[in-house]
Amino acid sequence: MTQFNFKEMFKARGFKQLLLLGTLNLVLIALFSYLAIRVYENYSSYTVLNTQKESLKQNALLVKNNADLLQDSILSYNNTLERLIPTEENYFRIISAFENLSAQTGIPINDYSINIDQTTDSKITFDFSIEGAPLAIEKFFNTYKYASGRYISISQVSFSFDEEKTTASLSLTLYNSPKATTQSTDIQIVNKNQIEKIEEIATLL
Amino acid sequence: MKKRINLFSQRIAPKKIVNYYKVLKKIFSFLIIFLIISNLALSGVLFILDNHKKNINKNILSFQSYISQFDNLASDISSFIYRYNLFEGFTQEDLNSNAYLSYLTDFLNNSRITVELKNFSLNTNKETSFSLEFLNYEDAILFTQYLEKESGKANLEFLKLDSFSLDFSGSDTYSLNFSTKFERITNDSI
Repeated sequence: MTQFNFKEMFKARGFKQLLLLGTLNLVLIALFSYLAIRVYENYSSYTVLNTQKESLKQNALLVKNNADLLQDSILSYNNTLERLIPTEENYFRIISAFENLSAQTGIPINDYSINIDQTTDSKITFDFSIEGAPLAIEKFFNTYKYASGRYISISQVSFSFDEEKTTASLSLTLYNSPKATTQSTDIQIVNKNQIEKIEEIATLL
Repeated sequence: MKKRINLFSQRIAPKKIVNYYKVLKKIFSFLIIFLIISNLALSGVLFILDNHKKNINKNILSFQSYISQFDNLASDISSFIYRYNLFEGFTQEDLNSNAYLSYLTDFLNNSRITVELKNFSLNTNKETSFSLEFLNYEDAILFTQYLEKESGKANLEFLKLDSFSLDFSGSDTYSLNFSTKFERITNDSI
């Protein structure tokens, strides 16, 4: 068994140098650890920042595209949508829509009743009958969606055809859109199809 | 006190210790060189990362300031998308009755039989009933044969003859009343 004699070890030549080198090593190892931790932390935050930057860059590009595409026209598109599905609904708006529909299609709309079963907060459904010459009724069914100046859908229809006259009983729905309570923080994109559709509809109102 | 001698023990001679120290010095020296180089490299990396981070922060600020210029536009777009999606949903509720009526009249015209559509009704489930009128018995029979042959190809889930009636007042007319359910006809028109 080897027996250490510490006194001799301390006294041996080169011990002080060795001690100095050992201490220096310890200091350098401590520095290395500190630097390694700093590099790791900085690299982690660099990665996060870089991801954030890339995301913002994409958003900036989307914003630029949106601005190029919509800056001058978004208000008019929103106006068109406001006309199609108004934020607020009231009796006069409904009467006005039916008058417009009647004037545009040439089909008188006189007696109608609210279909309570199909009516909700965002839509009101009316049941009524119309009659007229086959061509006039055909025109009505080709144009009813936008002819009133707002969007109308038909959920149920029943035709009776005669040579002189066509009669139709239908359930017709008018819509409204309450304002959004929350707004998305993400950059949203409007595509060209949506714009083309709204522009086309605007010409029909 | 009795002194004991351990014959197995070996004392390390000072010369041997010096030799050990030499080896250790070499190892320590090598480690020092390695650590100095490593620390310099790490400091370099840290410096580069710091610079990159500063640049990225600058970019982030400039992107954020660019995006914030268009806050109003973003709000208008958000409103547009919300309403457009609502509108799109509402348009799905429309029956699109013209498409189904046209489909049926085309189907009748293709029979090349004199037939008159008298009634047609359609609901949201695409359940349909319609009445056809024929001026003679032969046409009615020919039409039922045409239906047997062609209805499989038509866009219908089923076709049921609900009733058959004869009207002898004035000119004789034969009425067939059907019920059916259309498969969805997609229509790209707005």
